[in-house]
Amino acid sequence: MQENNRQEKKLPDLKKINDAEWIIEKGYKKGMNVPAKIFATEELIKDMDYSVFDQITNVASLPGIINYAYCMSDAHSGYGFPIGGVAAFDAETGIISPGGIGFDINCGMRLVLTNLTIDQVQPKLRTLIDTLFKKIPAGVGGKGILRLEEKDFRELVEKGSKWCVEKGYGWEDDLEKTEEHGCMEGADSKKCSQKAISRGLNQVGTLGSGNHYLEIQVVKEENIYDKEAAKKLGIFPNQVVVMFHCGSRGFGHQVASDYLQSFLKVMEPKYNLKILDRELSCAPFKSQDGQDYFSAMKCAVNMAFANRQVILHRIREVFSEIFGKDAKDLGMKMVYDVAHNIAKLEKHIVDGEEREVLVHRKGATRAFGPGRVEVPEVYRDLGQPVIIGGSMETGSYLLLGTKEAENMTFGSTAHGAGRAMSRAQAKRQWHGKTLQKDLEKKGIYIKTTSFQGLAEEAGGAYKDIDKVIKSTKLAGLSKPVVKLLPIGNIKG
Amino acid sequence: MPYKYIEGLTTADVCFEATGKNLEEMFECSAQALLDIIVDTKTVEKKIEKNFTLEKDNLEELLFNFLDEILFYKDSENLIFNSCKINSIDGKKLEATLFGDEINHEKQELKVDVKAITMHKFEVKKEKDNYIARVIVDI
Repeated sequence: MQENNRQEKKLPDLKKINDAEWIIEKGYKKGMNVPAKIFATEELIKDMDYSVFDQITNVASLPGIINYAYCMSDAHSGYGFPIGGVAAFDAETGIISPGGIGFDINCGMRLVLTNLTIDQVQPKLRTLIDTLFKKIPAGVGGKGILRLEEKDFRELVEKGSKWCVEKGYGWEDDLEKTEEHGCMEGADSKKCSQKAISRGLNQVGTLGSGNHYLEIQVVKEENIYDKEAAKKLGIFPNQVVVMFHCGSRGFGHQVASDYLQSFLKVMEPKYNLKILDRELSCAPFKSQDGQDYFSAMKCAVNMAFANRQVILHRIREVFSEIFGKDAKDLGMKMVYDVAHNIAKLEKHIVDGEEREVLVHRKGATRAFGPGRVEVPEVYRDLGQPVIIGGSMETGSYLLLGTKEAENMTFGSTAHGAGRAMSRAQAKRQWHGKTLQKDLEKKGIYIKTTSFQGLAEEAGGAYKDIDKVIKSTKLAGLSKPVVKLLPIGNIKG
Repeated sequence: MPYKYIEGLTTADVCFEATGKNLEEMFECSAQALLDIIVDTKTVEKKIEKNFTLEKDNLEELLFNFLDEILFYKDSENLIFNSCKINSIDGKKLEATLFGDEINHEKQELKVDVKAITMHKFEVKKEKDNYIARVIVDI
């Protein structure tokens, strides 16, 4: 299907800069303000569908965009922006675009340590997974771990993880180890519709569905690529760690939807903004509309941080129950929590001068290098931890951000393996129950709320994570520290 | 019901095309297509009814928000539906009833969650005697 797609459309002329960097020049499409830059090896770029190039060149035509419209190594077709798309805009003259952030605002990854080894966990693995599956709501709908009154929810979305820690759902250290300390300041729940509030109210502490998951992983010695960095990050051979992937649930989805629609109505009549794709609907960042969305987006960002914080609390409770020790005694500190659908105001060097820019990362992760004040003090000489999730069969990676990423992509890198096959095709190719049995034979115990959903998430439906990481490393955007292999997984 | 899922337009999500001889049929068919993505509707009992009215500026907006309303009830009230009846509709206003039950993983075969209705290739048109809607939903 993808082959036909590529042959039918006129492919852009991809100019090779080096083995992991390509450019589509401004002249490719009328209206482009900057070129597009794709960070991928030749192997990966050959498999990218035409929509990626079409979408990133549309992004390049947005007003106020700086330098390039960027695609990461895992790029695939999205709405407006491709997934794996990054674009920075001048804070004064640029725009903000909900499509550049995505429906699942602050969909992100959290990685948590334990001091347990695989030998200690293996005998209790099934019980551990079964209990996590019982205690953490996943799948369609699902009533959250927290049941909140509206006023508490409004407070939660303005304070994020801080709210959770204040109420006893976490440790102070968790805030230090979360991007933005778990709270973007300036969130105003009054900028969110009542519909959004109602959708999110009962969902705090739910995993969701689709490609969201909670995974128990093991560190094998041969998969530690940077021994010194691993040690500083608390990683050791044969260690068991926990990684999970989820976002802002119905709340964020509704915020995105509301503003996508409202921007469409005001873009042309109010701001004289014309765009090549209505999913790139946008408003000037400094306009009231732009600021209202930014404020509402921050609420969704904070809700997702709080969601992951509450889920972490529950994970700690379950480990404590199964292993008979306090979570602190089990060493269950966080490594880090990163967002991969977000817009951030950041200071970057542009044309030799420091400027405040609005960076959109859609299916892309922040990857700051050593020395940046945003990186937790304990990691500041290392660089920011980056978590890139693979499929449930192949494993995921912990990496570090780099100065090169700051210079080349406004401090951004890939976020996952990227889908290579449609859900319909995956369903035809794999059978959920058979897949579950096959994975168990390989030593990966999986519980799921939907076998159809499981088939859709088969490893073969995704790009090869090792190739994405190799490409990302070659581009200089992140440095691999360790590959984490799955031994257990719960999916919605 | 005459709807079909379309491949080739999206990798990560789902696209459907719903048709109807009139607006009632096309809207009911769109709702069915959406619900069938989320759940095996045969496993959902008709225990709860949700009535709602919508008024928008044009037909496209009306359909978009109609489908969005189903997602809204799913998340805000933890409800899942097996069907929808359009009680009245013109180009900008409708009154509808959704039939279903509270979400229950033990009773219902839930497939995959739909996060949002997107405007990607979103289209409502009249072709000869039929109304046709094309919708891509975010998974």
